[in-house]
Amino acid sequence: MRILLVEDEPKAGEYLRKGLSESGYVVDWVRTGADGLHCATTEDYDLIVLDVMLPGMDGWQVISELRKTHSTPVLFLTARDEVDDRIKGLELGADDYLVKPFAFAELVARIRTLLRRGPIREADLLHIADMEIDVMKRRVTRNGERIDLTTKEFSLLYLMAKRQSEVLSRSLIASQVWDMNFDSDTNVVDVAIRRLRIKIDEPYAPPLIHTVRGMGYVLEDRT
Amino acid sequence: MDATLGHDDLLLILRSADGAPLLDTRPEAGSLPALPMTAAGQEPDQESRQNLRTSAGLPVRATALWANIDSTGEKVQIIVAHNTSDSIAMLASYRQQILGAALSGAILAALLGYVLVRRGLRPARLIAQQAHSITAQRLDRGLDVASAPYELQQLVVAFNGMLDRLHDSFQRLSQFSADLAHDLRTPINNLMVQTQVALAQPRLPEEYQGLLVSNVEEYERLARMLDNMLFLARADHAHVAVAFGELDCRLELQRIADYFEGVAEDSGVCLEIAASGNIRADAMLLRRAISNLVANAIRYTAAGQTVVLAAAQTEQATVISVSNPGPQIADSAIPRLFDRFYRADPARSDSASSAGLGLAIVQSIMKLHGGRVELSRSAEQMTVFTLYFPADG
Repeated sequence: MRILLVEDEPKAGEYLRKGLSESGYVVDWVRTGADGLHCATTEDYDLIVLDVMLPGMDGWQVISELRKTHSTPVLFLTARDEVDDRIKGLELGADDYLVKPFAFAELVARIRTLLRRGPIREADLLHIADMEIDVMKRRVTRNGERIDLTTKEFSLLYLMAKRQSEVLSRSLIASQVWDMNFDSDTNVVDVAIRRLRIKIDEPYAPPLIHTVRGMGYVLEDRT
Repeated sequence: MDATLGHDDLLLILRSADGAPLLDTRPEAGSLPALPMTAAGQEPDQESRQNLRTSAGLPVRATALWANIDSTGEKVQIIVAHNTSDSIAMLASYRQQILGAALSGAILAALLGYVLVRRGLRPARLIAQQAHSITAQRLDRGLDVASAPYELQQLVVAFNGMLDRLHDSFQRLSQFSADLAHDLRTPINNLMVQTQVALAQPRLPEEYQGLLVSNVEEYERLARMLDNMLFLARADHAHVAVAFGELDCRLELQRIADYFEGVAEDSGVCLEIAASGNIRADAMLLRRAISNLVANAIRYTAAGQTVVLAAAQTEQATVISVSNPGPQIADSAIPRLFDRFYRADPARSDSASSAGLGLAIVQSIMKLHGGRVELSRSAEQMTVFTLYFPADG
């Protein structure tokens, strides 16, 4: 998967290039809007990460030019998040919009969503190691033993299982499980994960829920 | 004839019917032009009296009439003229006097007016001088009401009222800036010093990782603080889009109770819901406001106690309340409770918890909904935050 990164700020460009490369993407980094538009129209990219504030030609101009010929998915990065800006970005054909400061896990999650072609296949039965999740019956077993979960605990486990091996940030979890779309100072997500672990991981081996320090949580079989 | 004697100003001319002169008392005055004649036996009317000049240039008022001489039956013309030159001269002198008096009167009035207006406006000048000395640092001074004339007192009182409000806002703003700087100082200091300490000598990779994780926590805290401040600033200018919708109170409160379920159980606090009815509000903002209140309530409730989330609908408003038993908020803290960065209990402001913006955000959200938030403390040692959402949105 090739990603074109258009970012003028050296530090931001450097860590984004590094982070995305380490997440398994091939990243080309350019620093101006004109270069970005040139690369985007002459080469083949799966996704463009575009900063709005660029010298000379800004992100808005780049996307309005690009959309005349290409439909490559574009994810906007911006420090401005006025409602008008959001609407403008989406009207000009941006596929997603991420406001600085953002969690890196959030960026990767958004990129994955944009790159996922077609509808996500929602399996009825999920298997991770010895855990089985029956989505229709909302039933979870490990090692053949039935585990009782509350509704929200099930939603949380299902979210993590559906996106296994993907680091999920706390704000993403709060938004997906409880529909709380704002950053809260409370440690609700950490508490919920801890309680889920007591039921899912403590009585069994191997542990499936892992903490990625400073980023969030991931569910995967690491054996 | 005798009647004219001693009256120098009077001219009497008698003429026969054919116009031959019979008598002229003042021949030196010259002759008179022809006059309309009044018939014999009639009183000369107003029109027959005319102002004219004699051939010698004397201004006169004259009238002419026919008369019958009884003894002879002969008709004669009688012309009587009165010299008006004296009257004209007198009128002219009157005119000059009046003109002089009017002019000097006008000048005197203008001068007096000037003096009086200056004297009268001296309080206004004084007020202006006082106003000049009011600066941002001395907004509390105000203007002296007593020194203002009666007519201006209303104005001065209104002006002082405006100054008081400005002073209050200004104080809050400076307090806010100071608190903000102070609240930024702590995390930035943590970041700077712990990083410098770590860099002072080579360390194990785990130590570097620990440092970075700790840094991320501080950054996230800063980001949340910025986010909240930006929200407040926008709400102040009504730059927050409010998407009104019809929501079910019980479902919304249940959602929030679910969200805090784990945290509440961890601290041994029970969450209870008593709700009915619908509410017209922005779902996201409503959840944000209530969850700020619930997070506070759980924080201040002792283990084994219950936090109650209630909602009820009246005709005018939907009322949502969050009540918890716990330490009473001091009276002195109440007026500032909804101020930004204010913490009722500074000792409890542990760095991980909210930066003192939670209640300010609740208040802003209520303003965006045209409603209000109130704090009440009931006799049973309950702290109750009540949100009023007007029914008409």
